[in-house]
Amino acid sequence: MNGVIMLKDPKEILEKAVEQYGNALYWHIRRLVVGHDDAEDALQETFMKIYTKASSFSGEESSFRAWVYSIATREALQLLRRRKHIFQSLDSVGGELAEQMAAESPSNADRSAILLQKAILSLSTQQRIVFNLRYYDELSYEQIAEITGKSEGTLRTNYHYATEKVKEYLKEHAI
Amino acid sequence: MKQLEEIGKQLPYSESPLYVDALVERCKNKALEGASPKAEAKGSAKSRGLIYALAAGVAAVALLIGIHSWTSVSPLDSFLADADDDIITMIDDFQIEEIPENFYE
Repeated sequence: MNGVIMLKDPKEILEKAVEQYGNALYWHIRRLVVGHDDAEDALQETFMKIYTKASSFSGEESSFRAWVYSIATREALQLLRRRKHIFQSLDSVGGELAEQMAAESPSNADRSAILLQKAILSLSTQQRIVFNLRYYDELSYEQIAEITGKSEGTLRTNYHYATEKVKEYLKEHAI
Repeated sequence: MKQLEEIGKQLPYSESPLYVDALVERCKNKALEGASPKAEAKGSAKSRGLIYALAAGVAAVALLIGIHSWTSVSPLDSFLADADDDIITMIDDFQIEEIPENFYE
């Protein structure tokens, strides 16, 4: 049966997710939560959810990546929600994350790479997720739509404006 | 000034691929440990402990309220203790029939 993962055992499903997307999931989460320790916590929670929710996976090979990425994205956002102040919006944590990112970067880190991350962290949460999934993970709009539950049209608009904002930020803060 | 395309996908972090491989493996193992029936049982024990602690807390508060009610003087007792003898006499002599019928209207 082509296109269908015949795995039923939660452990096998987790093993497959780790083998295929383990590193990519770490970096996806890291780009969202910024802190190394936070990324590790969210990755572990993601793996636990994959294991415990394995029975809810449809079994379609094509949607496996979307399924694990959607869990990872939810866990990353959940961690950010826990960290923010009670009346603070999720979009407004970007400034704090940018400071943390600069502090966690090694002293010899490329300054333009730091600037790019600051630019991305200045985006709204949704734009940031779409930008990262498209730019770094090179996912199609169809795949991102499956992960985020948004329409492809909305995602194209998000990515377009996100890219414009990032370019503008880089121009304004040129080193 | 570098353009977006020139910066590419480089990240300003120092974790090597080998380090991330080990971290991913560690997270997987911790997740498996955390999701095992033994861990769930531990979780249940924790939940039971929490429930017992809450029940003990409620019982302690109820006991305190009871002791407070028992030892404290009600407003009526306090009023009677401070009242003049004349007022006590008036209250003693008071007849229910003396309340006019339209008193509560």
